[in-house]
Amino acid sequence: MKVYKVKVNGKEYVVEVESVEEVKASPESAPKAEPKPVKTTVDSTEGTTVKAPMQGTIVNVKVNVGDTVKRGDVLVVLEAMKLENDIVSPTSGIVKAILVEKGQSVSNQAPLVIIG
Amino acid sequence: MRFKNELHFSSLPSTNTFLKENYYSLPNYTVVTAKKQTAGRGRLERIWYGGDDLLLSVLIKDALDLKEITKISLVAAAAVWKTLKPLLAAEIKWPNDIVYRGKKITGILTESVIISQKLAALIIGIGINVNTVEFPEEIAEKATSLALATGKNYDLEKLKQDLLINLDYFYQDFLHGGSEFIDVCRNNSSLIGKEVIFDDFKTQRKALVLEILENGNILLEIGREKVEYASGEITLRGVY
Repeated sequence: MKVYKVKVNGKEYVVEVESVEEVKASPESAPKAEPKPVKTTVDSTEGTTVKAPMQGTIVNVKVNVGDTVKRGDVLVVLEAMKLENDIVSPTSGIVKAILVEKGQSVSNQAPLVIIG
Repeated sequence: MRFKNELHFSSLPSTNTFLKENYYSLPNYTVVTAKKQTAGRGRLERIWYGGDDLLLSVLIKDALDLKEITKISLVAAAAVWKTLKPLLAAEIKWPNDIVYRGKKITGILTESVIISQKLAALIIGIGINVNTVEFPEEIAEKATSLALATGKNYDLEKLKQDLLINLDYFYQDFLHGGSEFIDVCRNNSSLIGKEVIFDDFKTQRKALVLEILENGNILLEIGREKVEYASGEITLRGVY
């Protein structure tokens, strides 16, 4: 799942886009209707960007865009060297964007989640 | 010895989860043991089976450098290996499974809680198959226990004390930038020279394991290339 911000008539919407690979596997599927995002990166100044504390693999995303989280709530689980790291929210707020998906490799300091 | 503050439970959903949910109010180096785990987890939320076995988790709240904490898996593996050494010739399947004749005898699950780029809690969960002699069918081919391997039963309390002493020893080594725990993992690896399938969650590739490096990473030969990996899932072909 990828999350994009899309502007329609000047209003900003957060759109979740499913992986299209699953669609490809089905011969009877409708033509791909992948929205063309206006911008694929989210302005990081809008909230608190939670970054990867180390290189690793995202093995779980525990929140959805729009969720209310408290300080200490688990946002994502990042595995490195079989160490499963719960990356928890440093602040209370609303999940404005999720910039990673399960299975994705991330580098140290890669932005993961934006809490606004 | 650090790991002296012990909490015993007859039954807990998971010793790791208990520490994760209560680390804030518990003292550093708390040890939690449970006779039975009702929802024991292995890595990636796999179910862990527990019978008459040694199940414990330890809590570490030291302000460790995040760049270093992935090595804690190797600290735990070295501690278990040293604990089992007088009993049987176990090997370490990088980075932190302990196997005996190709079957898993110990599972280790290390977890952390990280807030604002700082370590809040590090939790090492260890489950040694001790006196269990029957495993569920789906893992019977892959699992063994001390009792199955040696035909004897073992005192869990004694084993626990040995394990905590060894954990304390290798954790001390880790804190002082030592490499003895890595050497244990390098010298007792079950994987050296084996053909494996390397799975990085996306693709699976055949590879030959060349060695465990001084930094704790694994060196693989994939095709004609030598590649070093710090993280991922290693699976031996054909056998566990």
